[in-house]
Amino acid sequence: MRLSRLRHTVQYASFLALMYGGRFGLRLGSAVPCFSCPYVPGCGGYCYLMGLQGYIGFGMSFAVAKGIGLLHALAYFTLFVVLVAVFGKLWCGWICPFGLIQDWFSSVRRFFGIRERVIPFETKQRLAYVKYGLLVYIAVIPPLATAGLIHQDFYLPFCGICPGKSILPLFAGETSYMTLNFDNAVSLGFSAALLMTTGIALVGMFFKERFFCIFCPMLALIHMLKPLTALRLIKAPSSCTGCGNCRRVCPMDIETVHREKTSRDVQSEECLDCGRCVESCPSGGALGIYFSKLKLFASSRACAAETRKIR
Amino acid sequence: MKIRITILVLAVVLLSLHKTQAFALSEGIRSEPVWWSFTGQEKTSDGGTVISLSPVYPDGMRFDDIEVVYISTPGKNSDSSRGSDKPEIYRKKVERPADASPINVQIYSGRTELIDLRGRFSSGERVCYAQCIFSCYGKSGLTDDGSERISDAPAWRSALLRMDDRKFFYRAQTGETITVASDIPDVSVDVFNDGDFVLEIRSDASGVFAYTPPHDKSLASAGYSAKKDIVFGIDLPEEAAYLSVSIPVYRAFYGNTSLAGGLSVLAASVSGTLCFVILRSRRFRWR
Repeated sequence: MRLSRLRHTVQYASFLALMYGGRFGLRLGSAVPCFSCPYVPGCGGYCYLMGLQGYIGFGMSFAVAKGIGLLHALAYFTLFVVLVAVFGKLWCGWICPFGLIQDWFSSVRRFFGIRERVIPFETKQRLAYVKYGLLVYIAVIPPLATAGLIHQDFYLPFCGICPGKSILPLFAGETSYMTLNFDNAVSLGFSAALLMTTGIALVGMFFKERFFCIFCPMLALIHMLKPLTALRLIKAPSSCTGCGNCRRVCPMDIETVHREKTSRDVQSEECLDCGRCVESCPSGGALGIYFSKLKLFASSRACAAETRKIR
Repeated sequence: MKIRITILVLAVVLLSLHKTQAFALSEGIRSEPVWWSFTGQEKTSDGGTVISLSPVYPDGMRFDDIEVVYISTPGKNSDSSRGSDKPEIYRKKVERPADASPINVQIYSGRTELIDLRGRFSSGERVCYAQCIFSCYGKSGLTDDGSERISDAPAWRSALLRMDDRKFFYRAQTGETITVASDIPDVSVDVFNDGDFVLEIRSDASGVFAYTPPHDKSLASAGYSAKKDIVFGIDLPEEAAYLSVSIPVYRAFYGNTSLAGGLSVLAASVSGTLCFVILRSRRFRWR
């Protein structure tokens, strides 16, 4: 079975499970390492970023953090770490419902024969810091709201601007997050910001593959746990012919895999573990996805030829 | 003749005394309202999320006896920390205050649950039944607040107030109709908004009454967790009883929203980004 076909199957199955699983009794808790949005009625699990904002705001900043509240937060954090350790960035490339929606936008663009836009390397390097800035934003704002130093409506600051909050609920018929909220200045500011980021994301996703992943703080969080993850993208530099296929097919325009001449571990910060580089590599064994030392999938001439034929 | 006049006077006196007593029974011991009110913010502690409530009653009122029980019904999505998905009934020990110090009841919750807090306050011949029904989102695993688990709710009165759980498992909001069922048809119901009398409504022939709390600017400008008490009170003079149910009402999630405004901002954002992409970005060379 081709890797991309397997990935698509997993993506659709994950989409159905995470978006509608709650209606059938699936409850994965609030430690899911991808955008499984709690604002989707009947979703199967909650994005860990929401839990993180809640725990930082309500668990950690209270003086009672010594108690069971902290244990509860730590239990979910441990579960999150375990899920990341086992599946790594497969959460991004294979499971994330918002990732699949981005792939749909790219498919529509390709269907109409519109070329993908490129983000200049220097700009992309600067934009890479945005996701870490968002992590700091998530860490700083909720405790301030809990302590009463800023308005209470700042309590879920990332959800307030995350385009997943407005786009994902649409698939469950929920349009409430496409509105401006005039309750007070803070809610109005957040609802306006949400719709602006949604507009930017919609256009960006159409013209650039996996546009939102450039800014996704979940990707940054998963990457910070890289030393714990067993899943690796491994390159055998001696087998590489330097054809550049890996760079051409990468949805994140990563150049490391193509340029690396010495190191075996080529999994960079932006890598989504989608495996497109592996299946398009014509050099047998030059690229492979490994779980610890276990080879899950390796490049081969036959696979690359089949992939090219289908493309 | 004298005897006849005496009998007549006595009859008039007795009749007037009887009328006065009947008036006293119907009007004189009209019950004073008692209802539950939330005190302070919810707090998270080692024992769970702590919710504090106090009964509100007229100054100088003294109670001979106070009984408090609460029924906890776990939410559909809650991890049942008490090990059961069925409603559980607990009795709270509440000390009768010797002085005028306020009565405070604390409920510890470690899960998502619907709490039906019931209090029976007796003062002489008068009895007040105060209820408070609210959703709780407990954040801890421990819930031992010293309450005694009992098998059945005390049969105080058949006509305690009930709410439709299916509709009410989420927070009641301004702008949404609250429907309450009672066993008392066609009775006058006092509605209090944060302690102030607002209006009088009547229950229908089946004892059901409904009220839609209007949107509140002070709630909208306050935070997401700001709430106010809406209290329904029923005076039953013939029983020398007063029934009340308090319901915490939060600001409406979508009471102040505009879809047209939102779509306009979205359209402006899409147009602006589209212009930026078309005018500024480069084409990718290889695809």
